[in-house]
Amino acid sequence: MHAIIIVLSYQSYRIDRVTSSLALSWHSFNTFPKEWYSSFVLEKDAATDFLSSMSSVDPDLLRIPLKDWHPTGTVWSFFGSNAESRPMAGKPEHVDQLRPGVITMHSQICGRKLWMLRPNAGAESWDKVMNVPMLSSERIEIACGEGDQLLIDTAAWYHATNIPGGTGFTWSIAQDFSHQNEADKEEGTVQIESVQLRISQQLCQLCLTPTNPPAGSPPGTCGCWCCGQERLKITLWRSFRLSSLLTQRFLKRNLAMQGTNPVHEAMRQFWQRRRLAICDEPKIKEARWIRFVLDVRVFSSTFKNGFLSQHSLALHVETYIYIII
Amino acid sequence: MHGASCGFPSVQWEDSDSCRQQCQEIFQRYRLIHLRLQRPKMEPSTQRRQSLLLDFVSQSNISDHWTMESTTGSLELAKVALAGAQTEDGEN
Repeated sequence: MHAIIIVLSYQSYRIDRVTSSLALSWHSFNTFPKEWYSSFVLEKDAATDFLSSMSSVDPDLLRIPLKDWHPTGTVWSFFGSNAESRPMAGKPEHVDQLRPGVITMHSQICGRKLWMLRPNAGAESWDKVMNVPMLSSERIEIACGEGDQLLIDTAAWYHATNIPGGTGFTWSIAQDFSHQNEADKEEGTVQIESVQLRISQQLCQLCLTPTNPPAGSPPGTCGCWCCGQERLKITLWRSFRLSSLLTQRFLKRNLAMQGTNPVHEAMRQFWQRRRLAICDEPKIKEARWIRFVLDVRVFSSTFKNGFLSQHSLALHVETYIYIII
Repeated sequence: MHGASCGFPSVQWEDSDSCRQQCQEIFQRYRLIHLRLQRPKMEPSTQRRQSLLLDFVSQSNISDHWTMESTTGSLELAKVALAGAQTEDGEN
């Protein structure tokens, strides 16, 4: 008894679309630029001097309105201008790796700035996963105008900013604050650290996870879990297709050589009637085709480098088995 | 106290204990709050504020603290841009 099993498979998958969201670009300074953005950070005495020089600014604007929060001594200054009609990207989406319990107060001294925010479910600041705010949309937008304050735990919220079109000069001052209880203050046991690591990463356009390109990959490659899985599936599919083509070539050559064998003769007739290809839906009435369809949906959560990513992945596999006995 | 621009933790600030307490509660829950301190007329003017910043940037030795997150790429060029923005606003 001879048995030949031919397996044809079909898989569907989504093609990943990766767009770099690098926001800052170089401008020529032959003339004054119409859109530009800069920042500096000051620590300790330099920060105190800077805040002292702001005496003509409304003191309420630079004072934290919450109780028991104390400045860490770090002050940021973000300023720029956008005279164009379109918005200018400020900071790409990121979270700051601050010491837990440190928050940032942004005081909008003049101009406008738009904040795009979504919660970072993996942040230590949320007591439980249930406490992570549920948003009705993917991101919330907060428009800060002159005289506004935004108090934000920048480790608990992914944040990106832009300067709306036609804003002109915009300037905001950010101060880091630490929640320090009285006992800690008296004993001086708490060392205030305010290392603010900024992560400028590209943002996946599908799952909105900011990542760096995987090691060895070309610039612009998205490093998130779901795009990695898509690339893996594409690689596997190409590998399978190549293997299938080689098998076809081998069978064709073998059948040409051994046309007298009844099984091979049946196969040869099959080849003559129909060209076997990956996308070829078999419709031979005397053949025994068995069709297997597998639909899988995988849900997963990954936590890496402070980012929690949640994905669902749909995989559709169809397998045809043709048996000649 | 009432919601401001976005409907999410955003309040019109008033200097009172009740407002302060409410802000505290909102921040504890959301780790985020937007306060609008806007007065009918902000003083000093935008041009004066630009001048304030330019003075500080020009006089202080902040080059060690300069971050490269700047489209201008260097402190000197940022000063030029800042001075340019001030001039343009002044002309307008």
